[in-house]
Amino acid sequence: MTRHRIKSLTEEQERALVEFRQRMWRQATSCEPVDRAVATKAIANAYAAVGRAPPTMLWMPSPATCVLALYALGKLSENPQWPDAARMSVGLGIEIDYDLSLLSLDLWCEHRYRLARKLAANLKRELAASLEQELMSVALRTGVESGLADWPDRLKCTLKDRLEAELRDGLGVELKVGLVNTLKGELSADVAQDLYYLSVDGYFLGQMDAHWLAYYRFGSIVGRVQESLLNRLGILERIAASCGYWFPRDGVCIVSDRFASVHWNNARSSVGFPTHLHHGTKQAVSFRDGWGLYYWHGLRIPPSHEWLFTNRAKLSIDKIEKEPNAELRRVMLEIYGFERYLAEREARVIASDELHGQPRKLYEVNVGGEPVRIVEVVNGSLEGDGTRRKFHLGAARDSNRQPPNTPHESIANSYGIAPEHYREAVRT
Amino acid sequence: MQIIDYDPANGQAFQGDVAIIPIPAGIKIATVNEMRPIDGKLILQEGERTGHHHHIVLRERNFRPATRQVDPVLHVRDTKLRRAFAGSGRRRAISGARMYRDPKVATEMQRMGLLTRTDLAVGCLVVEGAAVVIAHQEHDGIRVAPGKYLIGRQVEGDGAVAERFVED
Repeated sequence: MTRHRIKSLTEEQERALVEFRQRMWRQATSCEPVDRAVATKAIANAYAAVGRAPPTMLWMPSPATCVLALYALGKLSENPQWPDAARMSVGLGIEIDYDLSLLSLDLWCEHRYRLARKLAANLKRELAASLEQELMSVALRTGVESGLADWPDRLKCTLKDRLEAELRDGLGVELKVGLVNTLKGELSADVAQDLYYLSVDGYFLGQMDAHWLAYYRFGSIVGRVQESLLNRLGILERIAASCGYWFPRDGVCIVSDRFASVHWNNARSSVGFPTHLHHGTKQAVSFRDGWGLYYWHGLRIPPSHEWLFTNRAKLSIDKIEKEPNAELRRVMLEIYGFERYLAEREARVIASDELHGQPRKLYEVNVGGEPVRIVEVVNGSLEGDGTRRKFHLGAARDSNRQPPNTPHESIANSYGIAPEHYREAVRT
Repeated sequence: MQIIDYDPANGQAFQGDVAIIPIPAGIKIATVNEMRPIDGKLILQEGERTGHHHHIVLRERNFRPATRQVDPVLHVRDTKLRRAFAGSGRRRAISGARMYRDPKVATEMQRMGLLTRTDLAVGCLVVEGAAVVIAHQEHDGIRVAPGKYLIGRQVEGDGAVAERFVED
């Protein structure tokens, strides 16, 4: 059989690709509430694909409560009787009482040990093997890619990789790390560790799985694909279009709502997707139970510093100067206003120079009547929006405890390099 | 994030609070105390608050520290002899990076007038074979050519006289 192989996309297909990519992005970052009807049916289909009965659905408002629900259900399963108080609070101020009453009749009638086993039986691998691996199988690859000649690489670059960079590696990884940090920060080490093991790798990204599903869907439109394989693609697409993270277990599926809000700054990738999570006054990523993450121009703010957004009145110059982390101090200074800081500390420029085309300044400020020198430097790496971060560091003294007189001396001292040998070949 | 090539002949390289300082040819590094990679990454400096770190992603064959006691080939410093022992005549550019703790290196560099203090030294980075990239979530990567480098931290003044480590 002679196959027609596509050398390049037509103008119409190119336009369709851009529109499709934008549509997938909107779907992956959708803040619409979970579509329970669609998700229930699609997840039941996914379970059926691996020969399992439809699971009991447990709806949670965020990935954090999904993990807590897994933990809470595990604890409940250790009780000899169904506890009177199904309301469990295991930290974060979030009470796990969502739909437990619905669960109780279905699940608690079964022996509690069976529940424990069900929760421990993580179906992620089984489902992935059946749904994802078959999608990535030779049959589908042949179908999608044979029609594309040498074009799959371009399709990967222009569609899959672009969505993957901002969805899986950006938003997805940030949520995972943010969740772990929240657990570590708010719960006892043992509980946090249990929760971590319960959740790690045991879930699908839901709406954010669009990054790889999109490649196969668009490829199938312009290539050739067996109908039976499209059926499996359709199952995962319907899940991705209807809910957030989902944690498949034996007989139980814990499903997260989608985002309540996601905010970015103006930095954009080459295809126009936002790259830096940011909100000046509230959570940049939030869910309907209140859990969320704070970002300042792409920098994740650790739980210890969320007060910068929730209680900004606490921010003072003393707190800024005492902050040991240079990145967080930069954020604090940007929020406080560097000009305001300089004015309040009666700053004056002692010396300035230029390195790699970027200015450096040595200031002397008045801290409680005592002169203190600080050096202003610009980050070597460009931000996505074309700007550079500006840092302010306390000027380091030399080996004779003398303060520096130039930015050059100050930076050399700070790395313990003799000023006459200090020469920046590269700065990032 | 981009990757910037670093030529040690032009001076030192800096990635935020980490300095990469070429070690002069005459200084030998003791390889007794090797710093272990974690999950396939050689961590040069870890961010305590933000969780970001300066690291080199190693290829699988370089995940484990050298096992000198059991592999005599690795004892041999002469590359021709080592290739002959290993039974391979082909030169392959496989990048490898190892970190060693050897305080004497910084002491010697201070004695030579290159450094003003030794307490900021984290370890000695040895890059062999091909260049490796030092990466960080918030900074462009730095491609480091084969060679020996002292990895150092940064301090800043804290008030009029005290000082503290810079963390980013």
